[in-house]
Amino acid sequence: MSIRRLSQLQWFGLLAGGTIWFAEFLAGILASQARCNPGSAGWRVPHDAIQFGLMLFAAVVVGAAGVASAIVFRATYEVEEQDPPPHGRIHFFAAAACAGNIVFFVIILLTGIATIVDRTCHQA
Amino acid sequence: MTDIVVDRRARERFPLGLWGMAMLIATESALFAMMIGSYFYLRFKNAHWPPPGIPEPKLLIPLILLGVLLTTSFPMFMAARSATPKLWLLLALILQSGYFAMEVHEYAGNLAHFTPQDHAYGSIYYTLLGADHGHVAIGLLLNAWILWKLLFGMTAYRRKALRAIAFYWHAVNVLTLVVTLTVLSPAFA
Amino acid sequence: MTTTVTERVERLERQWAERPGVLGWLTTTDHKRIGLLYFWTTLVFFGAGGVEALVMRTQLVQPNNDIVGPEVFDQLFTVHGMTMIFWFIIPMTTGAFGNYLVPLMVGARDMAFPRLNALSFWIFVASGIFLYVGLFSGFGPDAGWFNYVPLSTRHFDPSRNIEMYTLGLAFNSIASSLTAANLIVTILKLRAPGMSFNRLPLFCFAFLAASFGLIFALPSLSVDLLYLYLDRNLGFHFFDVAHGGSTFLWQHLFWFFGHPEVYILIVPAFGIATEIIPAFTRRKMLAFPLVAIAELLVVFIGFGVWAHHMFATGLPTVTLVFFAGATAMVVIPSTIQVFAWSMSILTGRPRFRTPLLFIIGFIVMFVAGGLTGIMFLAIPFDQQVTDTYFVVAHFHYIIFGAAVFPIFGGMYYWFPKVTGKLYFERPGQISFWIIFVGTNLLFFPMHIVGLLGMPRRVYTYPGDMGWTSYNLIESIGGYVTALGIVVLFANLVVSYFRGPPSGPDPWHGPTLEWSVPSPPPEYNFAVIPVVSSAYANWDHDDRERDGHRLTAGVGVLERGHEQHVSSVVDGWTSEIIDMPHSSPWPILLAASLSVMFTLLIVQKFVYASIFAVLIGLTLLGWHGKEPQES
Repeated sequence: MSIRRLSQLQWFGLLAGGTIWFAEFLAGILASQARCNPGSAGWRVPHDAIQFGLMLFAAVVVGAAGVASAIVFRATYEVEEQDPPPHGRIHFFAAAACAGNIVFFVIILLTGIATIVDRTCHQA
Repeated sequence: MTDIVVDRRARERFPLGLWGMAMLIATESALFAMMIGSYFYLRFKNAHWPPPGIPEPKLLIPLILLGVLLTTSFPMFMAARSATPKLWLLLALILQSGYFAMEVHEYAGNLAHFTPQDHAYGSIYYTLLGADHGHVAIGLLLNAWILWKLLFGMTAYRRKALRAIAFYWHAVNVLTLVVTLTVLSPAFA
Repeated sequence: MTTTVTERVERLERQWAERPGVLGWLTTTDHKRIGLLYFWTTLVFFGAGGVEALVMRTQLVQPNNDIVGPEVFDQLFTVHGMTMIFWFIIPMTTGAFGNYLVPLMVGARDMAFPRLNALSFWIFVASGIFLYVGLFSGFGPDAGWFNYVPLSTRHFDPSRNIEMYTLGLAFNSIASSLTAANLIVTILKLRAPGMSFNRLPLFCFAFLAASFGLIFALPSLSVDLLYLYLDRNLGFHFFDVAHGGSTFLWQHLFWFFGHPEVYILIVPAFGIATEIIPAFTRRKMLAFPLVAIAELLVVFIGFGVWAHHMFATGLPTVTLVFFAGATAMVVIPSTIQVFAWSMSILTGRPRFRTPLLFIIGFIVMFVAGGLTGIMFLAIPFDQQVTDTYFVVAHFHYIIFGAAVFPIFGGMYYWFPKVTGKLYFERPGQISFWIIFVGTNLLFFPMHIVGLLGMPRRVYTYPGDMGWTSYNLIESIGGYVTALGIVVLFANLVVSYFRGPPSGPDPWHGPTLEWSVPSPPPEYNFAVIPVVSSAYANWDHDDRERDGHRLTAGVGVLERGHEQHVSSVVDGWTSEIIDMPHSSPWPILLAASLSVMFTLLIVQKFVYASIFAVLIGLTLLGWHGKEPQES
């Protein structure tokens, strides 16, 4: 694989997971607030369906980011983490992104399942 | 005596001033994001938005004004990289000042119909718009300053300042787009 | 004609020489001087916050006490919280440690924006003056450090106290934003040749994370403060439910800032710990890429947990579970770091000197505080312990344990670098043990007394609740902690005057600041170093090659006030720039801004506009002299 392709995959793996999680997170909170607040309850947004869709979409993107990071990590396996750039930097970010994407994936699943399973608009 | 050689592999050569401007834009964007979030939060909390007694926002003039402001990104873009920046700057400054004057007129006009002290709708409306107009005003001052500096000739520093100010204006234009659509949103729904 | 090494260095010294005397300090833009100014100023605030704490502990030592009444007690706990967070920890970590060390660690001669750095410091000083003049005039903020509405609205708190809160914090947040922006651009752009991201010291990753946190979190607080000011002074209705507003709006905006803020408090301290451990265990940090990303992740995910401070407010559970889930997972990056630190210590060859002792104490207390933190993510549990001393215990274990312990450890670790002297080791260790015992005596019983139902922010309590003996132990612990802190600073002061000379590298430290003399010369590096790892001072071949380049006159950059600029990701040399030197504009601008805001608060609008014009003129002066072209 060319350095250019490796670098692109590395950046996708590093940045896509966090970005999509944050977007899904905000969208999910927005959807739950839209469903349960007096000013917007009249719209009767399909809460569970939206949350399921958001969770699925985000999980797929984060999964793809994780796969990209893993591919880059394996492709640069012989590289040491303090090696000169660009290979050293690529390997370093790929290793970091593998860990990060696992965390984001789990948050998406936890929060998605919890918000769907919970009684909609039940007050804490 | 040789000294440090610039590495060919260093493709990105933004001057530090541009990075500083990027930091300012990042923090100001977060500021506006919070205010826009507040707008929609308050909207979700109220069954009637705008509340009874306050007219829905008019669409025509604000959207036209917005369009005028958005076009100024083009002369700012040209000013940052042309050999005759003063003309492009002047064009931009005229359009931006016209926009600003009309907006202040609209703002004052609206105050005659509803005030921020009437209801949270007015509070967030005038604060959000006021913050946006404030950023436009600062942009006008920046343009006036760099135009005045350029009357004394071009230097590398002034070229970098032009790029940073153009960047500022592109950001302000995007923010104004989002802010305007937000405060007009009751008329869309 | 060839110039010798001595001549080149002399030229560097002339280029970078500071103005002498007090004027030199008032107009300095040197990151080391500004770091020291931050250091001493924040210590004054630390003392003030400590006195506030001791007065509170004295009031609470026994039931039905009357040392201070409720109004004063309200001001004490409010100002204590504000001072410790905004006037001690943030400026001490980002302003003192960050400013002093980051340029040295990345191989730069100063921060990216030296005058902005000075401006940040003087605005910070003004913010402290606002708060404490307010307190000493009897207008201390008194609605808690998070200042909830409706308690802080004009209706329930009509005095000027809350304006002091608003003004002090607004100025403080401007200062912090400027420092954060400066740190980010310095870390991204001013790195030495060869320092790609995988060779950036972990300390710098931590400061990068904290700085990004500040940039995106502070605006939320600013917006909240603006809304409160408008509601209180101009009759707006952001928080007024009767007119379409929402009291929750304050809480959401505050905690969207407030939670990242607490990660911003501890992440720089993680950075300090992550440098002390390799130095005193003589091995590189385990799992380097994971620790680096953990430092960034903890702040990033920390932006998504804010409503866990609102579990008891009646929000719908479908919203709250998002925050519970993110809170559960934000623990993971911290845990990665705890394992990396612990395993590095266990598999290294530790030298149990004072800095490492403070770091081990930090790990113990951080784990304890982290465990109680995880307990809060369970919404039912949180609703039971909210507003009790259990919460106070948790955050003091975290703040004192995870932020203050590394700060103390860092003070000892870098003392030789900053002063050129060694501190006395025995008193250092004694100070650690006294502080460690004291803080556990002080904060551990708070868990128990909180579970027994003692609420927060009470100025006294009845004698028949079973809380009395715990409060007594806590107050004793408070005094023991204070004693330990006195021993610590006495040791540092005596060592400054009587300590043996340390030389440049007494610890054989891993990072670049140990490769320059102690204290460092104004220009930091005589020759710009070329690095090939994150432990640059352990790469002896590289440092030898630096010496050869100095002799050959390559990379000395002594023709002006010069600094090397690199590309963001891979550290390739991209240009040489000319840096500003000492300047009167920062302090003048800070003074004009402060006067203008004061006039606005007392509503003297005409005078305020005069100062607005002055501010404009100062800005013109600031940008009047353009840097030399290279």
